[in-house]
Amino acid sequence: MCKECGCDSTEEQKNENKQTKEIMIDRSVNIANDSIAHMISHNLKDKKILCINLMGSPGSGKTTVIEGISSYINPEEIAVIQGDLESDIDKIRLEKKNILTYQINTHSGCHLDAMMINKALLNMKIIGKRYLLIENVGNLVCPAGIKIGQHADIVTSSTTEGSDKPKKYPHIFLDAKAVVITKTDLSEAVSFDEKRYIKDITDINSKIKIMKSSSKQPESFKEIAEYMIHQRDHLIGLSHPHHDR
Amino acid sequence: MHELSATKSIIKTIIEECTKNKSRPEEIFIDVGELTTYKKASLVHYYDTLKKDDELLKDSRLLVKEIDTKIICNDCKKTGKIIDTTIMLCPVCNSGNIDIIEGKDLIIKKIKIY
Repeated sequence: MCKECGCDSTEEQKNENKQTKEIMIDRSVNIANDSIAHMISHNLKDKKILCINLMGSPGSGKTTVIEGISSYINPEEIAVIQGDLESDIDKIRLEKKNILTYQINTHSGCHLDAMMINKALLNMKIIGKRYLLIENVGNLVCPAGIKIGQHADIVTSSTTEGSDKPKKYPHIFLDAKAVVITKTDLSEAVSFDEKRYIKDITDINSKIKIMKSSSKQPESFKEIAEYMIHQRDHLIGLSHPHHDR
Repeated sequence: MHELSATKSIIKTIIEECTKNKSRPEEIFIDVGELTTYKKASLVHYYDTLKKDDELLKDSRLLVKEIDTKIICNDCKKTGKIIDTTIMLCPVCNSGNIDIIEGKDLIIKKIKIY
């Protein structure tokens, strides 16, 4: 007997009689996030602000890179959204450099998403800024592929993490426009195999721009600052001499 | 870990579609690209866990198809499958000047309803 209505049909008979139909969806599961990300990216471009998604392991030097480039780009032109599980340690660091910074604490969240960025932007005065740097949660896995409104991804990858990171964590490098090899002053001490690293990273992404930095050589951040200026010029359609991609 | 939020998003779409069509879901077809950070087993696990408490979903199944990475080469213009995702080179001419055409998305393809 049918369990639902008490009729005489068996479950098998009911299944045979079941009229099924297929509804085509063909839509990304992340469509809600991606729509907001698209809107953010579009709005920032309209305001002539380049948005960078800065990703890398915890301690790979993301905040140090921002501090470093603020010697070559006027800090008043930079805004930062900081993503960390807890604390405002990096916000305080950047505010000492006169950089407008908004802190997001994700608590247990492993990456930032477009909704979080949208909310942050509603609470920031970004008019007049030229660069929005989003320092994602330190993680080489989860932030990869999550759109947050960025115009470009830059990954920081420190020599102390080892030269095998591109082989072990390829996803994060796949769509990146650039990678910054940080802590190069420690290369020798940690036996960083630069040749192998560059070969492996260009096997994943042949178009990636590779830069290097060291907090012991403040002038090493100049190239990253120039790269960002170049990327912004591209975004807003300004012409400039072409030295690289 | 973010398969949980992805699964919740899938469920939201199923409920919307079934409400619209005044029907119940039987099978949900999902494509998961190799280059996403989503894993088939976790998506199925979260779906099976979440559906238990839902009258509409409890008899339905999530069917996940894994999608390989496919590229088109901007040099030789051929398309091909990537065997090792740490070596993203054209399998025909070995060029790195490629665009990925499949394998980066998590997509709800279709829902079988009754």
